[in-house]
Amino acid sequence: MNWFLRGIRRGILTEKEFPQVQWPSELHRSKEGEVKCPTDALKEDRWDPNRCIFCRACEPILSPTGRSVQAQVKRSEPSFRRSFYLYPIDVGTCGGCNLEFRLIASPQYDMTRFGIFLTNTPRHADALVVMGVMTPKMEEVLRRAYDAMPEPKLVILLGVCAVSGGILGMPPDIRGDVVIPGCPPTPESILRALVEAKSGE
Amino acid sequence: MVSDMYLQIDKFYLEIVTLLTMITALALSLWSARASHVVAAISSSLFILYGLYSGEFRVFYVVSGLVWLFSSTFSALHDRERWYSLTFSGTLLGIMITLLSQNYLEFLTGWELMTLFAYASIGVYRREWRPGYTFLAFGEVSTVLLIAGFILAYQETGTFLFHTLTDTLPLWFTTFGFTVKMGIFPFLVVEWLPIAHGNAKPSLSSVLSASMTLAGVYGIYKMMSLCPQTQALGGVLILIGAFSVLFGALYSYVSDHMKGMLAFSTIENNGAILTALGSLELSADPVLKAFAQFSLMVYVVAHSLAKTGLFLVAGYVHGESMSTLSTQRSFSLEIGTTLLTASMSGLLPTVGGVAVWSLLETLFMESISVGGILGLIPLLAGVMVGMGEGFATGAMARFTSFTSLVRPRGGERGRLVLLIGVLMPVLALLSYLLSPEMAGAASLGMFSNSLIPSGYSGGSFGGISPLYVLIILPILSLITYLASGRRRVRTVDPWDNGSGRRLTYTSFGMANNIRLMLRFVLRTRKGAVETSADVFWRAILQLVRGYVRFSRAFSRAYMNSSISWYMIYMILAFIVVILVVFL
Amino acid sequence: MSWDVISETITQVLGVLLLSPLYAGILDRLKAVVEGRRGPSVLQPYYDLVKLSRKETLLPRNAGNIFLNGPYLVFSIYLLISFVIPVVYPRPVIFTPTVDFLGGALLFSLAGFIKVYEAMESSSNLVTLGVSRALSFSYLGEATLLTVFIAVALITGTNNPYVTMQYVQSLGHYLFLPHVSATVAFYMLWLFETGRLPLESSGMSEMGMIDDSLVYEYSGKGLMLLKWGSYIKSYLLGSVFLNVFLLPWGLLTGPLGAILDLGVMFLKWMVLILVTLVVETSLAKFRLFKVQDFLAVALVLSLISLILTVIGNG
Repeated sequence: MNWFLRGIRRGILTEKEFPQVQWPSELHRSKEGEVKCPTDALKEDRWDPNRCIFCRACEPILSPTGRSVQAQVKRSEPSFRRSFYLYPIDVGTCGGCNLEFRLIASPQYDMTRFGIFLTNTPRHADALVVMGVMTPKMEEVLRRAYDAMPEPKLVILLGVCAVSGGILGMPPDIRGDVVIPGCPPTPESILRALVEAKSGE
Repeated sequence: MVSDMYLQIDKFYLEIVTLLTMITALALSLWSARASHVVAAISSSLFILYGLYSGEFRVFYVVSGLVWLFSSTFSALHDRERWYSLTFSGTLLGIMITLLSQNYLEFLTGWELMTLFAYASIGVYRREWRPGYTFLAFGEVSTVLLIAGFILAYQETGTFLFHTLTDTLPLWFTTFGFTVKMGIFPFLVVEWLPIAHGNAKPSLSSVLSASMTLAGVYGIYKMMSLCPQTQALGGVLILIGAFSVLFGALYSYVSDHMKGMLAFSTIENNGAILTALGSLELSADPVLKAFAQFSLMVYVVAHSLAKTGLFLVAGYVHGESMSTLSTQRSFSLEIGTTLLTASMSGLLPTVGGVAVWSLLETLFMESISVGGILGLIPLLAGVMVGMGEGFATGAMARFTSFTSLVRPRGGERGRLVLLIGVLMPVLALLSYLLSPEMAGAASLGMFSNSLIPSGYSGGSFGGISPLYVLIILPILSLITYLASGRRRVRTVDPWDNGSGRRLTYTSFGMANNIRLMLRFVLRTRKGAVETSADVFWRAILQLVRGYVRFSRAFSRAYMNSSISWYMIYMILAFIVVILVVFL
Repeated sequence: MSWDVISETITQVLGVLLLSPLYAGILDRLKAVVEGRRGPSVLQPYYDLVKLSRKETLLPRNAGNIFLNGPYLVFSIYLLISFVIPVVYPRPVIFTPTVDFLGGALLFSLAGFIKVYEAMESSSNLVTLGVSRALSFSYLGEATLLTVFIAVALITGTNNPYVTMQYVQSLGHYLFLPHVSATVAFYMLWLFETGRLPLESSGMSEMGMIDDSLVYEYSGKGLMLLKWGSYIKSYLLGSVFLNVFLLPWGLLTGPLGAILDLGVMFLKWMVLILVTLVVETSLAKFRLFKVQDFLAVALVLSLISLILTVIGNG
């Protein structure tokens, strides 16, 4: 009885507006100088968000612009607009992406109000959320999970490790339809990207 | 009339011909097994024909004949050993004589013949003698009780022919004799030991389960029709039948031996038939009695044929332990087994569903109409039958899964199984013929004579229409199929969290929940090969061992080879004789 | 067969078919509110079903005909049951006498049976794990389902739920101890049959699922039909509970009354949803073996009801 009364007393904690992404922010060169980037995120003065792990080794040569890093949605599926089931698979993370990903189910962000749910089997899932670098034993598992999903399906790469390997290793050998950079990306940016992937609110 | 006499003579000739063909089958087995089985099949068909002309025992004859027909057809296709065909046709001959008997002596002859031939088939071949001997020993116990009952009947009527009696004591003796043979609580061992551990082939197992126990039911039914009604016997039969249902179903669910599971399922169904017999005896209301008779007959039909089919399935799938079987899947085996197990689980629209429905209705109607403390007996029996049906469903699901569904390695065809399986819904329609009355409700779209109602003198209780269920379900399925549209299908591996380790969940593991949850009843021991035990057989063995120890100790104390004690015994005996002579 | 009866039948069946996902959606929304979230829309189950109908059907390598075609049969069984029991309309409609109350319990068992078979045919280990759990509780579940249905029959002397509905509308019969006991037993059984907490947690954990495991290997249209079927089953059992046990009042007759009855059922279901909401959010999931204790208590309660009725009669 305690939980029920507590829940009634606290009320609804979900934020009222659609999540506004504040950070991470894009970086640009603001001073001259040599930059040693551990993940090779700086190529000919162009900063690649898919590689940056925000380690701040390049400060103060690179500084934030104030514009937030956007996820790239290469393909979105209209039939998932109202009902979008995710199967998260961690192929080799440090744990950071898992923590941030879990938060989108919390009362503040509440992914279920957009019709996004988590499921425990790829058979019922619409999108495969891949986090982390490729580790040898998980190659087979990732491939089987992808095969076990019915069409139409999406692949979402979450975090810089899944997109380009980060500093830990090689990225998983799978073509992503939705790319969410960040190390780790914030729940707001994850939620924004998911909503765009399912083509609408 | 002339036509009646003609029919009488015809029946007589048919009976003689049927018996002679079975004796021919027995003789032929010395030359060729296949010929013997074929002739046995012909004899079974003749028996079915004879049965159709008989009076009130028609159902028993027809069902027995069908069981023999299917079993001997299976044997004709698959078995080659001559001694087996000898004992098989001998067993059939024994049961036939029992069913056709006109007086007590013929009945006993057939009964003993059946027991001896079955013992020969079970006990002689394998080096293990215990199953055969146990079977024979308990068979003789039942014969002793039968003889006692028949002697009492002879004393009363002065003749061996079947006449109406006024004393109920013969009924009690013979009923207990028959129930021991049927493997009812607490003598469960009589049924499962020979089938699970003996050398019973599939066709003989099906005859042991379906036909031999049917002879027991026939015996009880006949004696009930001769003796006056005793409510006490009815109550007792209902209770022991219900306990058998519960325990038989429970043991069947936890058993991992394929034939053993089917043997326990036979015990469960025999318990249900016994409950039906008991409720026939318990109620005095004629409407209810007619309905109880209907439930008895339908249950007999449902159990015998479905059990035969399932034992034949066990014949197609080689192996004994369900955890290590090589599953065979083909369209005929899969669909046949599904229909058969649906009937055994008591589900509509098969005949097993009609049987379970009618049995439960009978029990609950009785508890209302009898009322009071006595009405609690059918009530508790009904609840136990319900629980038993739950276990039976689980046991049948395990059986089908590990013989036909899971990870098939072969595709053996079993067309005979499919034939028997298809009979299940068909017979549900034929149950209309057995029903005491039929009804309809035209205003609600059910045309007349499409319902089988259940009622008692106080009013109508309920009703069911197997015909409508059988028609509506496929139509609705078809509508759903057409409405849901085309679908794209792609074949994939099953999802096991991606490990790819090809682990298999065995049939033993599936029943572990119950083994652990009901530890107390099943006496589960962890770490041993045999994890659950038949507590009744253990109790009987304890009694026997205790008696042996007692008699050994007593005889050593009594006959202690000392001259002085023997002198004392002689003097005591002399004194007792003198006293008896003077008094 | 008058047009009135036909329209009432159509209202009942279509109402069951189209409105059953709504109640599941309302319960999910309210549970989310208690958890402090805004929660999914109440029409979420409909969106799920529509999306599933557009997805591909995947066939596990070892599965065959029963796996592919079983869902149609299961769905049709639930449709048949919606003709037979008083779930919307308080008088018999077309095809109501097809099975009586006890036969209805047997039809529910048939649906469960086919679901088990099609699950086993997929030959997957996780599915077998869940099936073994489901089967090990089936004896208590089936016995309780039979006894609560019969409790209704013994009180009135007939197996016709429509008669019982009329009978318990008077307060004297309603507060009769066997009736109260059977009501509590039926509620506990409903929680088990529809896979609610504290018996089973749906969602992320596959080691705890009992009912969910039966649909674990399904996708596409098969999954849509099975999910819809489970919503219909929850509606049917819950409506029988409401109409015959808990709140037997308020249903209207006549073709217009049949349409108004959908609204009356909605109000009754709100009561059931609120009670279930409190139960689900206050209790944690039981250990697996405790489920047996839960069901045994339900069975004993319904047995008490039966015994009291029988002794009272004689």
